[in-house]
Amino acid sequence: MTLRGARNPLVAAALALASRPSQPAGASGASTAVLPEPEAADGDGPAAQEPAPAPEPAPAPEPEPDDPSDPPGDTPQDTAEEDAPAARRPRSRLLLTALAVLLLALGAAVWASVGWYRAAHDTTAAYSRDRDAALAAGEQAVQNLNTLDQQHLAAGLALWDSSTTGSLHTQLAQGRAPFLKQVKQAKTSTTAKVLSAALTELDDRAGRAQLMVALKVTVTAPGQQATAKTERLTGQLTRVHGGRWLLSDLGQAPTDDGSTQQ
Amino acid sequence: MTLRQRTALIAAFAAAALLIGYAAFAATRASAAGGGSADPASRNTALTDAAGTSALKGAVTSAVNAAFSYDYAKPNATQQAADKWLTGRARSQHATMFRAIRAQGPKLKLLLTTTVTGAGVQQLNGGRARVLIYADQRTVATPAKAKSPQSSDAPAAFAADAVKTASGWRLTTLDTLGQ
Repeated sequence: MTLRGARNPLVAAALALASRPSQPAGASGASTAVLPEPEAADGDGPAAQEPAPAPEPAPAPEPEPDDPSDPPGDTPQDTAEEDAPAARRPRSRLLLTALAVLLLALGAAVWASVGWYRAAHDTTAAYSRDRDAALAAGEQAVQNLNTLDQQHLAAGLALWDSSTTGSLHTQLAQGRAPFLKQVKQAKTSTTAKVLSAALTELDDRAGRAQLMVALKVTVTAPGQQATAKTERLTGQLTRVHGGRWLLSDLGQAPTDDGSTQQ
Repeated sequence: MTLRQRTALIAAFAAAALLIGYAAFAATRASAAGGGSADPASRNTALTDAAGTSALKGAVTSAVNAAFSYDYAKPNATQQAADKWLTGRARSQHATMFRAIRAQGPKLKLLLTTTVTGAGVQQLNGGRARVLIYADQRTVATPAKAKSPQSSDAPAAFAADAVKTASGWRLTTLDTLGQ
């Protein structure tokens, strides 16, 4: 919305600016390669070739008034150019077309540059993307940490490793041996489904985020009925080298009295 | 057409072609970088609008705490809070939830206290929002025969859709997340 609003005046300004040098071109000549030609033709026209003086007064005042009085629009110039000289010099029409195309292209380039610059410097958009990326990574990591298939313990634990960083990573690594023993004895498998999740804080400079994840955890053991339980988890995400978000902390959400109930 | 004119013409069209090519490239880069109202990530102002996010969380917390608490001594307070904070489907959901409590309340001397312990804004799009809520529900009942009150605590996780009205945020739907 803001972008579109700002673009139009810019394009208009660019075109207005761009159309200004084209007008003196007919009268006085300018530095651009395209411009001297119509000027030279103009100069030849009235002085040497044209016997009739009648059409001349028309093109002659034309360059003059557009500086002091006429608005810098391109319509007066166009019509004036086409009135008399265009019939004589069709190639000047071609040159004018080329000029118009060039100006339009210039306008488009300016417009696109502004859009590019704004998009690249839009910190809110970048923050929004960080938020969505962190949340998605957090949901996946929490699900990973609550999933363990008895048949694929090594793969499951490798996923735990690659989903975590910092203190949580250390904790999991330290508790690995007794945990494995316990899981192998109980022969339990665990699956998890994220019910809903949200970020509650995001510091995209520090690369830290807090999240909450409501999770349905289902534990199955051979010969027993599966038990499902809703977990209310809170966690911390840390952005690591390479821009990935990993879980650095995860636990039960604190209850009313401040305790972490289980 | 002189050689100069032809050169000028070719130069002009070549320059125009280059500029248009560049413009197209810049436009693709701009849309790849995102931003603007067309970008779904930017339309959601959860957290990006810190003040709005905070105000929404505050309103939802007040709404849940008030509308989902019950005191048998002043049962109308619950209804008044529901009338104030809830609208649309949330009203009928609330009525269903509290039917049993209302019926049993005086007899059991029920006190139900709901306390929001965590709230995270998932979506904030202008006047519409969705919030994930953790709440603790403490129930205290003192049946006639019991000597002392019995209490129980239940943790809850649910999501609420909210809409912004002239008088502030109101909950429109409660989503128990399929539990």
